[in-house]
Amino acid sequence: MNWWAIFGAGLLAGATTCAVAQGGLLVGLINRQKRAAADAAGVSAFVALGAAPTAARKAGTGTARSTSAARGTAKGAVGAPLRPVGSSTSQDLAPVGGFLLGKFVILTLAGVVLGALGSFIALDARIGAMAQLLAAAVMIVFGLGAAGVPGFKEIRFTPPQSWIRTVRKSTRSQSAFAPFLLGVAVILIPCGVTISMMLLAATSGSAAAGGAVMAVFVLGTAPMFAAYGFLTQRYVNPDSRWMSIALGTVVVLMGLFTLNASLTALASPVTAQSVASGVLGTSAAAEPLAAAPAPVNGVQVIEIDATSGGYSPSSVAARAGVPTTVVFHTDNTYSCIVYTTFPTIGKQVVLPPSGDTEVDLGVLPAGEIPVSCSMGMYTGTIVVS
Amino acid sequence: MSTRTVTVEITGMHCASCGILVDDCLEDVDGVVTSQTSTKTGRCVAVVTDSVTEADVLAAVLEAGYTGAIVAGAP
Repeated sequence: MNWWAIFGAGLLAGATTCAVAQGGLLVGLINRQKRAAADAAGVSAFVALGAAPTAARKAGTGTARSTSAARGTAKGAVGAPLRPVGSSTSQDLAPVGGFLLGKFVILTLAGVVLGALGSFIALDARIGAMAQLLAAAVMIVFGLGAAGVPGFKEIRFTPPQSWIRTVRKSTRSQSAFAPFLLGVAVILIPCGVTISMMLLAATSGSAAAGGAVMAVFVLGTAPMFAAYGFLTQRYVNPDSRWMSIALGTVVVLMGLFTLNASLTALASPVTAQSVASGVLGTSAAAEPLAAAPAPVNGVQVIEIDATSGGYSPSSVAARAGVPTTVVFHTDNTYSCIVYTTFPTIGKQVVLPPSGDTEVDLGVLPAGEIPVSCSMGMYTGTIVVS
Repeated sequence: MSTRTVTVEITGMHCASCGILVDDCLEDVDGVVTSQTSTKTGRCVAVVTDSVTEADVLAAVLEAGYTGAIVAGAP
């Protein structure tokens, strides 16, 4: 898993997609609460900093309840944001922290559930790989949409009205926990990039990895969210072209990576590795470092360490025409590698976190027998000759 | 006080959050009774009182970070 790519996607998403709009919702919520508190105290909630907010006040109302005033900005007074009376940066950061905490908790939890669900589906390697293929396709579509590619940018997830009403209601709450609850509620209105990250979590291979994917993504959105959505007290136009293209590219690359992993798990003859080896004129599998083991009592036993980070060695030699047993050694192994599959010969095994597991492969013909985790993320090869 | 409906074509929305933000900004304007924005159609339908002008509605949409255009003759 490329955690920096996920963090980077979060960073870009924080400046270009739903996170920007969510920053606006949070600012509106905070200022509405402060205005209500000020109204209750009988004072004006806002003062202008540096310029008269003429455009921000509506004739005949006698209050500062226009859009601009409610959100703390002054149209027609560029560079002169309004700030709530008595607010300080530390006071303002508290609700931002509450919102981000709510979002972090709910999306991390969602990642854990999706990761667990994905690993459950992957118990059947073929169904798991097909689901992964579908997830990859959706990620690529949403990535192209995020990059603004015509024909794709119009494809959006439209949540039910009841979900939208729930979020809108939370932006009007006067509760002290409202920022946190708004952070929780935004899971109901995910954008395409967030959905892509959820799919990445589902294909991560474990509940822990799924939770980590979403946690890193949300942490990535935090800096830009704080800077644009709140500290500047104004909004950037979400149409930041180059950032959108960069974000879309990252998501498409993640989709392609997932697609390649699913093709690997399905033992497809066309994968990135096979294309690269075809271009370079080399074997897709690395040359085994050790010779094939000598048969004992007519059976050759191949030993492979299955760690959380891959198979070691990743390429092992075996003799053709000899009954073969593979012994997988695991030691505190907690990744999708515990769901190991031999896609070309239809064998699948679930490894314990620690211990030795024997798999009878029968008599192997000459050739390369791929071995991979059910998600296609970790691969190895038995070179039979 | 009588009300009327103002329909706005909005560009730049990506997801449901954008639509909610537009509605949020509009409903903060005195005289806007309700606002319903669809990111699917890219349109916002606001019910406003006579004190609210089309320019006020467009200004609120702009404030949310999007550009809008009044749809003439829309219900």
